[in-house]
Amino acid sequence: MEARISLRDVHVEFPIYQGGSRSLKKNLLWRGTGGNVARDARQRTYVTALAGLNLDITHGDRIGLIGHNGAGKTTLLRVLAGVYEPTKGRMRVEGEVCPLFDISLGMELDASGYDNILLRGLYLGLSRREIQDRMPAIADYTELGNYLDMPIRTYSAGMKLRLAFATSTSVGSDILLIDEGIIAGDQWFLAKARERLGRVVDSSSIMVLATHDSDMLREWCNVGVWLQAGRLMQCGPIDDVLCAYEEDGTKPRQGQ
Amino acid sequence: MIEGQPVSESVAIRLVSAPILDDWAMVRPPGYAAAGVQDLSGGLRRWRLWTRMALEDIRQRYRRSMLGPLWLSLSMLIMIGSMGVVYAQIFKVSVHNYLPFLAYGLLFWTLLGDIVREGCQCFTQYEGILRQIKLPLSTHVYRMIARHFLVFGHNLVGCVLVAVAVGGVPGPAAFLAIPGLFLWAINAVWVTLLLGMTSTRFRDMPPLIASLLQILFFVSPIMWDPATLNGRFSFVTFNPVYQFIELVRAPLQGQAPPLQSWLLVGAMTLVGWGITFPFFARFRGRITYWL
Repeated sequence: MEARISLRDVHVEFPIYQGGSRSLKKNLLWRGTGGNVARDARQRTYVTALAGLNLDITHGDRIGLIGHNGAGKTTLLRVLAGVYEPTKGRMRVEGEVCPLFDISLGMELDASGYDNILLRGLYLGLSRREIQDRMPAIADYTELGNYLDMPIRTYSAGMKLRLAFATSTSVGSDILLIDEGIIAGDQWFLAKARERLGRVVDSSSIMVLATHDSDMLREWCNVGVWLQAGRLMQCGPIDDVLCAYEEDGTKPRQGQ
Repeated sequence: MIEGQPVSESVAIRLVSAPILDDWAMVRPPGYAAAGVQDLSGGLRRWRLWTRMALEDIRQRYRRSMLGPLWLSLSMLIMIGSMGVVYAQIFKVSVHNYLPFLAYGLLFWTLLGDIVREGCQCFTQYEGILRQIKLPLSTHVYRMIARHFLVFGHNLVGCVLVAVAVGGVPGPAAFLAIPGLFLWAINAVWVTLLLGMTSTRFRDMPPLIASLLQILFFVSPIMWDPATLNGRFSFVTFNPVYQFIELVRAPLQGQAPPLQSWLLVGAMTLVGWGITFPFFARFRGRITYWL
């Protein structure tokens, strides 16, 4: 079965609870007094992160999410990962999803590198056995050698990243979701990661990457999805979308 | 290779402005109740993950201390020993009878307190995981309960040792505690779910629950024997904490649990799930938004 993702009119609105709306006591007081006391219990605003997104992603697509900060890139990734259920609209995903958002998933600082590979693997849905089978390959890829026996508290950020990246990309999922933060390694690692992602993406069928790095987007992605304020601005071959996005960036903004 | 791959043809039709009604994406998702059941059973199927995480939680907490998880039981034993001697004098009962009663009472109270107190943090504590990866939400609930029962197992050994030391060897009736503990586990799931959900939405829940627990400790027969009330305060019968504790304490002290304990705990199980399940089914998808 081929991996595939479809979004239809997907909305995501975050409730921002302020003042008393976080308090049970105030909410009860507000209800109990017919809304006369503790009025701040109703204080809440909604932030629209995604507004009516329609998208079809199919086998072989390597999507680059483009947009300013707060455009909804990360939210979209999390919706695709199933973390946030759309507040309105429908989404359907076929295939195993592997999110690569944050290196800290399942990390126990006092446990050894090997233990952490196991924990992360379990989170990602592998069985203990499957992880043991992959362990030599993962350990080899991280190039951490004897460090793997030490608690990861002693690791540098780059080393933790290598460990997390090696484990996550060895799962063999159909859909790989990557947020840019995780990719911030050194040049040597980036080259290695790129090579591996190339293979992983060939075997898994969809990748969605959110980043501001246009070189990386050109190199890693074939489809660009440009988001602005939670809406789809443009979608198509990566070069076209990047051109349009960069052109837009040089245009003077309305009302400025 | 990444370069030179053709852009898939579907790009052209991606800019759909209006939703198409009968397409693949529009297949009806499962209803609230079905999704709720799927979450609870899907979490159970992840038992390898949550048992491992529960173990890891305990190892993590005591990794750097010399006695390790033994600290857990040791601190409880010290409490039982010191309280036992003092209160046996106050209540004018023999230490031999009082100590096992107090030990088992505190043992189960500790379990109950852990379930309730930490249940409030069930989702806020694992915020980092919830925001990153889609797991059945019940996975976190099971993880937490597994951890409580692991600690309980530790403490149980200590308390049995105390009882044996003063001559109270558990008899065959102790096996009756097993179905009782099973009921405890089933109830722990709804308690954790309900408290976890409400505390994620309303951040003033945990302190509220903590003060409630403190009151419950003193009004429940843990330090004092309800028999000393001489039937004057029959409201103790309707204290769910008492019935839950009696259900498992009585077998360890060599008696079958009274029928009223089975009935009241059974009723609590039904009522608790009757309230929690619809609530969970309805708001399951909102929990990550509340974090």
